Amino acid sequence: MEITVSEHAGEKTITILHIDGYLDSSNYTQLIDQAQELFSLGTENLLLDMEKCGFISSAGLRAFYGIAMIMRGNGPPDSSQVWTTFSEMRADIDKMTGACCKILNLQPKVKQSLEITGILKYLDIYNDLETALASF
Amino acid sequence: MVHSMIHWRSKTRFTADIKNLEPIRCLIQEETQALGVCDDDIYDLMLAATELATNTIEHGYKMQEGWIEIEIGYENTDLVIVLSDGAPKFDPTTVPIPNVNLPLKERPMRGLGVFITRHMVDEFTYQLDDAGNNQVTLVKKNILYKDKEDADGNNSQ
Repeated sequence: MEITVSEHAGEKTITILHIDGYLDSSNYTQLIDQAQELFSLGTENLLLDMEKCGFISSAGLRAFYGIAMIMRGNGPPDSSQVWTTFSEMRADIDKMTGACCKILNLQPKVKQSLEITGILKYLDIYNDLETALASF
Repeated sequence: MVHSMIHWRSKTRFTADIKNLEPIRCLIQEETQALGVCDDDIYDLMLAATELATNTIEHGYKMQEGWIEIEIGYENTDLVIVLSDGAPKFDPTTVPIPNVNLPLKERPMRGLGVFITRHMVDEFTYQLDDAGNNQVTLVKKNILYKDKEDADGNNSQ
């Protein structure tokens, strides 16, 4: 997996992580670490661009959860609170409060396979960049 | 289902290392593509195998030394993958099915990988092999259409 970083300057600065490759148990912490580094450098708005990510296992959900924890300012992820975090993240999105992490362009097959877990509905997922950027 | 007529195509042993998840997927992709399996079904099989292999490496071997063996074959139009390992005996088919309709806070923590696996295949069974190793069989039904003799490299003329 390769991760590249870009920034969109507007009313709010939005940092975009472009994920290229697969996301599984062998590399999901790499993504969490990158988000942690960005957060510690002051990033408040993070968009995960998954367009070039052709495979995501359940470890990808762990990555999304870990990044959500970080962007909420809760520090290192604690796996015992995974469900609570997803739930609270959805509440944050609904209330438009707190640090934000959003997901862009999940590949259709990836989305379909993870949808069965019932967790994707708790994530803020967009299918086009413009709408994703405007949502922050 | 008794798989007495399975045509085995390959048997490959991997070190039980999380870095081998991608090589395991590549093997499944190559073998199933050669049999004419469509991309969506290949993805399902790769995801199922990834989830099971991950559990074996992380929970079975607890990230210590070990091996995972992948056998790929077919029976009529069904694709069969057998994952074997020498970790302590564990039957993943007994993992409770999480209720994904429950509110998130009420869900049990474990079992997401097995839950995904169940949805990716039509059969998901466990047994011990003759040597006492864990052996999980995954079957995805009615996904082979290509002339399998061609795929095996035989002359079908």
